[in-house]
Amino acid sequence: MTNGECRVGHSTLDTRHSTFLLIRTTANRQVVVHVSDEAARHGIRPGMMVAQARAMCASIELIEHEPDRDHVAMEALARWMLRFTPIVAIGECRVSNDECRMNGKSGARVQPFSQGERLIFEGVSAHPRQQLRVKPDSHAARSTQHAAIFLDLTGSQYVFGGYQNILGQLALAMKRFGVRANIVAAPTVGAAYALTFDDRWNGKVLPPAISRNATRCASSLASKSEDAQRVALRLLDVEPYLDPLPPFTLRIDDATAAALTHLGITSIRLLRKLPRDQLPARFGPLLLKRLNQALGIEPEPLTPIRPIESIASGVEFDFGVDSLESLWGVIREHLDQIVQRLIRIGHGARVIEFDLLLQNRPAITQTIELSRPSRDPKRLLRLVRITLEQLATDQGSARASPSRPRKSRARDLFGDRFTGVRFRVIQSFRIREDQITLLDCDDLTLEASTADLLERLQLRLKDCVTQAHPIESHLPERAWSISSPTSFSPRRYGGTEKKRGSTNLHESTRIQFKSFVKIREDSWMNSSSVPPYLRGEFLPKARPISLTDPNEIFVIVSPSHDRDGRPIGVTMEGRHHRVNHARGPERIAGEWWAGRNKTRDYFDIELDNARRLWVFRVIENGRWFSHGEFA
Amino acid sequence: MQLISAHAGKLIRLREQEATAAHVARVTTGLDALDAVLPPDGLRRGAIHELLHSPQHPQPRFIAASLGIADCRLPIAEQKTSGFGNRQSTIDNPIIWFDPDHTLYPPALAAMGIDLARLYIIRPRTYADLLWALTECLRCTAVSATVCPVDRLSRVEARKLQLAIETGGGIGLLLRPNNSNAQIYAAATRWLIEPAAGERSLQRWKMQLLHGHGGRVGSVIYLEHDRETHLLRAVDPLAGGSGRKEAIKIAG
Repeated sequence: MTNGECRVGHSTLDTRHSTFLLIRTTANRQVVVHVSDEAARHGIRPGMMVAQARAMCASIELIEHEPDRDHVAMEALARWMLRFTPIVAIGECRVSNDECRMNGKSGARVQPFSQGERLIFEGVSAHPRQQLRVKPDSHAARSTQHAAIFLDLTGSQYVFGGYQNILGQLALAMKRFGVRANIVAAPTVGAAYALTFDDRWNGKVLPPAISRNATRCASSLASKSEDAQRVALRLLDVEPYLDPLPPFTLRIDDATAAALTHLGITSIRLLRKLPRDQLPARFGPLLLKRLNQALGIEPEPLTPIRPIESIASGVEFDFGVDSLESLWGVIREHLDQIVQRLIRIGHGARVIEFDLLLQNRPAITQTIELSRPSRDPKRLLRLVRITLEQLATDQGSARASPSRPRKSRARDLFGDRFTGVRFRVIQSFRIREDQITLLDCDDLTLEASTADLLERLQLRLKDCVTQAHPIESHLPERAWSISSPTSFSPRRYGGTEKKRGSTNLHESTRIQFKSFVKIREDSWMNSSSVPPYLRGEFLPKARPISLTDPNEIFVIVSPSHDRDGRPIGVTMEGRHHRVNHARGPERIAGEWWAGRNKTRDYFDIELDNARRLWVFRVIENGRWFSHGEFA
Repeated sequence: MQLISAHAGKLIRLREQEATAAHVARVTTGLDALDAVLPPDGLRRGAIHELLHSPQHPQPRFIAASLGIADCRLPIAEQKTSGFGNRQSTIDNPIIWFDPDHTLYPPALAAMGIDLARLYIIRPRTYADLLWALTECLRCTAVSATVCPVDRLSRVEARKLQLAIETGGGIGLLLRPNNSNAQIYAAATRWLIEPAAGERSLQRWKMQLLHGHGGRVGSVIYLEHDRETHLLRAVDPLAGGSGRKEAIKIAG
């Protein structure tokens, strides 16, 4: 068995050149959990009080220890390493003698306690080896509690062209991630871990002359008898490399390490010279077990992290199927399977990818985006149905068949028989229970059913579904913009955002405006002599409900000496109309700062056929345009 | 007392209770002259209403907007008691406007008091897409009003729209040109709308009720919109054009 190991330090700071401490605060007690190298040089050790540490070095920086986030980051890093091997384990090497006794031979247990908690715990419990405890600044008391990731690289070397390549890639990646790590490949987990404490072995494969035969031998013998396995592992011969290292590198607890140092056993060589059968009685079962594991005498199984499996379901037939009924049946069945798996992890699908495999054509792939996460089979089925209908109409129009296609055969809809379907959940979010109950009953709330409608419309019409937003501009054609309604915000499912963003914005502006008006009314403008637009009761100007691009028209104006008379006759579309009434002008200056320096005079005119148009004259050149209609 | 009405070619008998219940739940437009012409249940929700216009005239969008937002406009105006009062939530419900030719000007709707945050404008590229989306919108229970220009409808399509709006319970306003295609319909009321000669700051429309069970079919109402005061008024020419109190303010 070959294992690489990484020791991961604190990644957000330059741990070499700044003095900082990770601390844990418990009931007014601030305990140092971890120290940087610089701080260690000042003599600060884990387990001290912060006040004590400050006395040693005044310029320390304190960072609250967050074991949960550390664990998440560690798991993310481990997941990243799944590219090298399927077996990646996060090493938790904090097993005390007590726990080892409890667990017997079951091996290292992943301990739920974080580091800081363990330190506190140690302080109040009567530890069996407490009397052997030595001075905290001795060599043995240096914290051995380093996080480690173990990779079982057996077989991966053939894929990546040797262990050295894998280690090189890992080292490069760690450097890019900003993670300080020592990386060693060794035949056993224990040896790999121990050798990471020796900087000479960083990035190297141990033993240097490790042959493929030895590895293969070890792995292939794993299933045979224990004796044979032991013999095979003996062949790996890691003792010479481990001998000079201190005993605490064997993943034993601090107390045992301190005891060993106290007894003058400063290296694994000396430890190996002690009578093996007395080790459990003297130091607890863990030491011998770790020693055996490091030397390869005792097997050490790794508990791999579970990869996040994608939720997918599908079926492929041996032959093409033409019946749409069976297509719907198959789709329903696989959607049900997906829903079952979503229920198991408590999620709702947000983006689903759907493949329809055709017999003689490339598969049709469609992405279904839901307005909010859901695991309602009815809703999913309806969305798939809309997608397929859209596909069918697209195909139908592409083929331009004169006769209407019969809807009962897949060939008429998709131009071919289908041979299978596949569903993949691309994105999913955790959904709350009330959302599920909401989906189960027919009585959807307003927001939910609006979102459903928009999601269906957007699925088929894409960007044809729009919403208008007012923009502050005097030019009528620039007074609004159009955008797609955004109905989904992932933050909502983090539980912070309550309403949709766009609505919120408008709501708040409106409220602000109202309150602004109210304040002004209350304070000093409550007299009737103030014009209405200053009292906030402005009346909106007349705007046509249909606005077109400006069309040039010919207008006869009333006699006037400065060419700004009112329109009295209009010729448009080849016909002349008398103007019965003209209301205006409303002068709108161009946005000169944006390069539009023309000024328009707008008139609201009624023609003799009772149509009311909105026309304007450009006062710079006297040309008339029709801009809209009060329909 | 029994009322006899015809529906889909069949005579149906309404009990007095039902008729009264319908009368109580009647949906007013806020304009008395208009309500007097309408069928007993008023401008019914959960039904299609068609606004026809002659092909050379523009679509009567202003009328459609005023009728479509009748429910949300009323509480702001005169706090008039109406059937809409029972459904307070419709104030926030979306309004869907189909605009295939990209000429709708939303700021005008905003000036009429429609909150643009609840207005969705759909611009379908093909007529098939338009009909499909229209059906979906009508069927949605959240949508309070759907306005859509429609030209030709087959009998099946018309019936589909009717069933959809009955499920959805909103109000469906179809703007149709009054040509030979307009013969096929499944609507609760149908109006012919023409622009009428107005005054300098007064725009008039002539509305004629073409169809509506129990309504005064054939009668004509003039609708007036005052540009200065933003009042909307319905005038019955036979009643002698009374009216200030019938006016409602349309600007939000």
